[in-house]
Amino acid sequence: MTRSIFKIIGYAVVIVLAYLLLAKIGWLPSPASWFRPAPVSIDETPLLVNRIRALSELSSLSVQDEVVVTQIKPAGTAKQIISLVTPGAAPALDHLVLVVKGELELGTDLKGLTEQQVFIAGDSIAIHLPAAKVLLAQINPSQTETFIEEGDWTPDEITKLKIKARDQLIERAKQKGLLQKANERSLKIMEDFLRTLGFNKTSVSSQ
Amino acid sequence: MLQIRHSVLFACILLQLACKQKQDPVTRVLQVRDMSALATTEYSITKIVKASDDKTWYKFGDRKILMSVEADVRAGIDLAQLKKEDVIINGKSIQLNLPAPKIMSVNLPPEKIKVEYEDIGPLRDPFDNAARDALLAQAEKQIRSAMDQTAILADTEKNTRNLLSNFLQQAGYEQIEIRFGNTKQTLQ
Repeated sequence: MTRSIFKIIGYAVVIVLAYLLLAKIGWLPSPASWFRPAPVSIDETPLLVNRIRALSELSSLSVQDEVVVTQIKPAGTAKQIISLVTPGAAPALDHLVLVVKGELELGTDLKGLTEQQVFIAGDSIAIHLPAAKVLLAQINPSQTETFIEEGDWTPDEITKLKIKARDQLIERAKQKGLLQKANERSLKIMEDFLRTLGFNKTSVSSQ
Repeated sequence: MLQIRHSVLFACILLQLACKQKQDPVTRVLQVRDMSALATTEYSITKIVKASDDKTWYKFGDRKILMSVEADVRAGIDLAQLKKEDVIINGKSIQLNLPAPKIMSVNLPPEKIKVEYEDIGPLRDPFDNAARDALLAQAEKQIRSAMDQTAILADTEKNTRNLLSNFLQQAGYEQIEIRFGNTKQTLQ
């Protein structure tokens, strides 16, 4: 009787060891993967083109920046009650902290260029460009990290916080004088382009 | 007695460390880069993002989400690649050999992302922001890879040609020929 119990235990040990070995090699799923949640994938859906727009934007500076935005609000009723009945407990608050990486493109919108701002005579050209501005402020979900999300946050509240992050990115670029730098770059690019087009005397200025 | 006091002190330090709040990550500037690109086309695209979290064997109940996303895709040409020899001038005629148009940006503005429908079973957690962003990142990838099925690059060639032809006509050129390099979908 004892012998057969030892025999069963021996077989079980061999089977477990063999399984662990095969899992280590990668031929069988590891025990940890049994409880790993399956990744959630989105379905392939078609794209619908809503609008096509002709642009004439000269991008002269690209800025990649990162900001941290925080939002705090009173927690839900259940948490409030718990904090009220717990002696010495701090007021119950919900926290949301996002780390947002964004990309800005600064440059000149040539749509604002009128005929009166271009003067051509022979191989001479004078152009007065509109002032540089933020042409693109991109904060995509793939570049956003949710650092803390405590409590219930509606999609609208999160959208507002992301818009705040985008506004901060734009403000920081302006504070660092990058619009001025973009303006100078736009003038240089336009001047080089005009020289390439065969103009010997060029004068490019901006507002 | 002294030992008990030390133990209590040690326990307090441990408790303090355990209760220490997470520090906010540091904000920093990553990169400022010169560029010289002429964007001439923008497509506004709508995509429906559908996901169902029902593949994990030990989780019971539905967890589905449906979102609509509007993306702005910009395309143009990189003027930095334009060299002197790409411009051939002969009296009143000019030939421009421009680089191939490319996708410059795929922008998913937060205000244009809407959660249209959610179905969460009583035993399941709702989709939080991190989960929704992970799904939207997949949508962004799908949009980028599906752009070659649209006519965005052909439209970019057309718009660039119109823009430059008008300018060159104004500059006094009578014969204008604009060519583009081999088109290939390049994403930044």
